[in-house]
Amino acid sequence: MKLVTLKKEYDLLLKDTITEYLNPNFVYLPIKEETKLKIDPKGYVHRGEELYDLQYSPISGKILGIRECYSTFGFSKFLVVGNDFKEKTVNRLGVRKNLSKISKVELFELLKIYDEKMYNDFNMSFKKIMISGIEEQPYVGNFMYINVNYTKEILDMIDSLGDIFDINDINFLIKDTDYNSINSINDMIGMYNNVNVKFLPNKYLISHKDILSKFLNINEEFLYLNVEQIYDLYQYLKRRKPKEEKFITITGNAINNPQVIKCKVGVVLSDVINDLIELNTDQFVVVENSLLTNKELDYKRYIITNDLRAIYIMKKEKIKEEECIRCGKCDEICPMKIKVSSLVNNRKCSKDLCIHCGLCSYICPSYIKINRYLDGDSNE
Amino acid sequence: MSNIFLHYKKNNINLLYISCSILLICYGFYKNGILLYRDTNGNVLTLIRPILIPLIAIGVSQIINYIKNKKISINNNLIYILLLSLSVPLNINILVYTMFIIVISLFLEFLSSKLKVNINYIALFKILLILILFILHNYQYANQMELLHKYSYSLLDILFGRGISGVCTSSMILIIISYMILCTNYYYKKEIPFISLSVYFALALVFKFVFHKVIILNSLILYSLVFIASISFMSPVSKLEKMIYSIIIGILTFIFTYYFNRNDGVIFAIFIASFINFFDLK
Repeated sequence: MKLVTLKKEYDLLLKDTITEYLNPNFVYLPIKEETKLKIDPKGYVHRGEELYDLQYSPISGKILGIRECYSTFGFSKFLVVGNDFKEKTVNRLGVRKNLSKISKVELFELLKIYDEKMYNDFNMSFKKIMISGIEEQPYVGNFMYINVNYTKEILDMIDSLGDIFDINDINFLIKDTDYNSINSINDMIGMYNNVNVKFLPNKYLISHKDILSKFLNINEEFLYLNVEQIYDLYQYLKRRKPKEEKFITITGNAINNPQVIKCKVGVVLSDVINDLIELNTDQFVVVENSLLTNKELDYKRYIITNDLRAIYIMKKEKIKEEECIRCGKCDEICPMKIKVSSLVNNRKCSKDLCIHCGLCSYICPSYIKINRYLDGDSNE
Repeated sequence: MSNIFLHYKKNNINLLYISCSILLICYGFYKNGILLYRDTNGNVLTLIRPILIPLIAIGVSQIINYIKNKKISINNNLIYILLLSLSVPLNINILVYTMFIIVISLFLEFLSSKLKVNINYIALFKILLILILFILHNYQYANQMELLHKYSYSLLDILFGRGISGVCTSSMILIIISYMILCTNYYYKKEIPFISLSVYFALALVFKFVFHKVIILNSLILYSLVFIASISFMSPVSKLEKMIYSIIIGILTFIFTYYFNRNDGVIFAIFIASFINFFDLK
């Protein structure tokens, strides 16, 4: 299978700067219409307290109301909590000393409470575990930061998973050009017999599960997690607390200090940008999660949720979209073998397999924003 | 308008087409301009004809582009008309040629996008031009010297541009160099000329050894395959379609060249093969 190395944009390379933004004034927590709060809607919340359906508050303070904002889910309602900076937490069990002594049942129970998505990932039969230390999107440094700064925690957790599930076949995947991660992991990997490090080439989408399976010729079912999930799992099991913090990369050619930021879940993006980011222009657009899928956002009312991985702040450069020249490169480059050119030329084709990688837009010589055809909005 | 923030290299194929055209125009000016002027003691028009013909094409195309879009630019229509102009016969009546270029430029600017049909328009226009020239008894590729004398052309003659061909399409070596230049572009459909030429030569070799026929080599065939058959917008998209298209062109070029018209058989082949664009093969 042919994988692609993306063209390098030197403006977007991350520097070593890593920042914490853990004392926001407000957090916004996603809420549905039918949600029933477990506490008084105008009352006080403690840090780590469950507000509703597996939604925990990352700060302590008063509930201020409901506002409509944007996030990776689109435009929806959010519960606003004002930070009193007192860090009052709910009563918790202490820090667990030994991760290996956790049983499978206990692990599943904790995941049911804290992370439903990860619970579903674990809830299948597998004899192999693959841990990805490779970001799917270019210029995102979250995993590298975790690999370098939390190496022991990650390796402890991975090793413990092997003991919990009685599995010896655990592979930790690292990009062969990620020298920071390689150096950090090499220093400690000798202590963990269960964990094998595998180096993968610097190709786009190599860490996508389906593409990885084809690349490594894996036919059996395997548990596939990334290092951020391992770090979250470590927090759940070791410290017995819900997820409160999140890593996001902020980069782009419209800023002077691209960096990875550790911030509270539910923070308003504009607060982070205003407080931490040096813009070099006032004509910019903000793109969420991937430069290739070109999803621009209104950053002033945008909330950082668990699904957000990166924000790109890019100079406004409008390039004229031209007519399709029928080169066929979008079909050739599609990893899912979708006949993209048919869609662009108003013919029918099946787009159910689309993984929204954005390679078709990347390669198009006419600068056609092909993802809007795949999203079903060709009149944009 | 579109914001594409991460993008592959810019497509410079139009600039490459123009660069290759300049190469061919230079040789065309040398062979059908300077040499002809010297050998026939012709007038200034004889000298500048090989440059005048493509210049008329560029000028008319840009005037009509300016009328429609209020700007001058190197667009696809300019390239199509320029490529067509390089392969017309040298002795074409300039007035007829200019009017023809005006009509096809108007068609390309105002009608072709509305029709949404992807047949090879350049081949179609060339066929119409051939018909017009036939009606006017002006269909002749040989220049004045070639008409006056009967030459016997060897392989080296044809390779180095001493054979009978269009205004600027005599030199096979330059066309091969142009093909190599175009192959450096990621979006150029390089397999089309390669496969169609391979099929043509395979058939020619079979006929040579079985039926003892002479292999017909013609720089117009090579020019049409490299420049006209492989135009992105007018050729198929998928690998299978491109393969079938190239094979059909190779076979039909052989049949039409050997049995109908040795100069323009390839153009008829390209036009017929372009109907494959109506089918949506995977």
